[in-house]
Order: sequence, then structure tokens, then C-alpha cells
Amino acid sequence: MIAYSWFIMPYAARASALGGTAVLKFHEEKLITLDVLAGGFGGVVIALAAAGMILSFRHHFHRERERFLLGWFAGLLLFFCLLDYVYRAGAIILFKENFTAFTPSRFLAFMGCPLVIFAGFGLKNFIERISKRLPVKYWRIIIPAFGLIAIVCAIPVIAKTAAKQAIRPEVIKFARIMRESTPENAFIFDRLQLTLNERCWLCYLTWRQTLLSPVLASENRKKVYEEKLFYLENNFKSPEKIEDWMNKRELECYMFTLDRQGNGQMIKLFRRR
Amino acid sequence: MTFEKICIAVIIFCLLIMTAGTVMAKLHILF
Repeated sequence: MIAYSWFIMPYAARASALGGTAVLKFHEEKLITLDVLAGGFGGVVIALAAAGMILSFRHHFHRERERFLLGWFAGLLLFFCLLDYVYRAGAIILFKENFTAFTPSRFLAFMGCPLVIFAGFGLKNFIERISKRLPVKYWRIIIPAFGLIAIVCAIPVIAKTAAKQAIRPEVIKFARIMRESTPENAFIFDRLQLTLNERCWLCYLTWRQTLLSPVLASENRKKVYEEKLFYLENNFKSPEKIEDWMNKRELECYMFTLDRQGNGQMIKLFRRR
Repeated sequence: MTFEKICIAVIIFCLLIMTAGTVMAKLHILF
């Protein structure tokens, strides 16, 4: 504990800066209800994990490793529950705003580790019980078939989340034009019809500031909020305000549009004073 | 067995809170 506290000290010293981040006031994540949670983990994993947990509770809890596993799981579930439900309910009642603290889905993501270990234990017990009734030759078909079904079921999820599927090739092409034809301090507006995912990726693909820079809750999001709010309030109705705002931040403002042939072109909106 | 019992109690407590929260969210009460 003492050895590791040394590494935590620099972070603890920055605790006073928490107010500037969205750590304690995180709006982006909506409530994760039980049905969404069950859908995310999968019914089979949850059923097997519940069976595994009950079986290990009956037979193996004298062992340290099962106790550790249960404590790990319960701790993560407790933090998720307190942040996503209790903290959120408190925020709604006291501040009339729907926000949470930290990122509760992170606790769920890490909870997947002890959950699948319990599920594996449940599956092992299930196979052991059935294998006594079925001859080995059937298992030579059942196990590969089970593996094949698991892979086939995972394909749509992998395809959906893979970056190449999430971003259209023309957006990657446009991003390259944006990057090559602007300086490093460019702030790029665009009139493209992009999905939220593509818009999130755009600032990484261009390595320029855009309207939606995905910043972690623990980072300083004040600037990002200011930019979003500023754009929503002005939306090019008063270009002189945007010009002042860009100049103050030493940014150069560009607009990316498409011509009639569908070719991308960069237009410099204001000249820096 | 005390540690295990505390863990099981925590899990049950969380499931109860989450069930109540999910029902409230579906009925558009509070959430």
C-alpha cells in the first residue's frame, strides 16, 4: 500500500482540479437498465455465472481464490449500482439534472472478468454432469458445434464495432484532405452528413480540432463544452463573434464543404488578425 | 463465512436497487 501510494500522489495532488472535469458531473452516459445490462453480457453468460456462483458458494468457499472472485465482483457491482442509480437519483432530486459520476459502464466492463470466470465454472459443472450420460463420440460433434455457434453469434457485434465498418471510406478520404490542407491550429467546421461515430473519429483522423472531440470524463472538458455551446448558440448567425472567439484561442477557422461533383474543398473562414 | 455473506448481501442489495431503478425508468418515474 505504502509503495503504491507513491504513484497515486501526483494524481491525488490534482484533486482540486476535479471541478473543471466532468468526473462528478457526467452527462453523456444514460442510465443502464437491467435489460440493457443483461443484453450486453448475454443471457447465457449471466445464467451460467449465476449457476457457477451458487455452486462455488455451496462447495468451494473455503478457498481464498473464490472469496477474492466474489469480493471483486460484488465491489464492482456495488460501485456501478451506487453511481448509476443512487448518485443519479440524488442528482435528479437535488439538482433537477440527469448526470452521474465517473463512468459507471467502466465498472460493468471490468465486472465482465469475474463474471466470465464464474460462468466458466458453471459451464464446467454443466458439462461434467451431462458428460456422464453422453458417450465421447457425441462430444466430438457438440464441442466444435458450440464453438462455431459462439463465433457466428459474435460476428455481427464485431462487424458493428470495428472501426472500418463504423467509418465510411469517403469520410476517411475527406479527413485526409482536411489534414493535408490545414495548419495544426485549425478548427474545422463541416457541412457533411456524418453519423455520431464518424464525427467522434473525425478529430483523430484529421488531428485537428472539430466540434466533437471525444474527451474522457477525467480530462478537462470545460473547453469542449464551451466550444459546443458556443457553436450551438451562434451557428454562424454572427460570424464576427466566432472570429473573436477563434482569435482569442489562436485558432484558424476552416469550413469543409463539397462541390457539385462531390469533391471536398477547404475554405478559410477568417483571417487571423 | 462472514465475508461471503457480506458479498452476497451486497449483490442482493444491488440487484434490488437496479430492479427498482429499471422499473422506475420504464414507468418514467424519476429517471
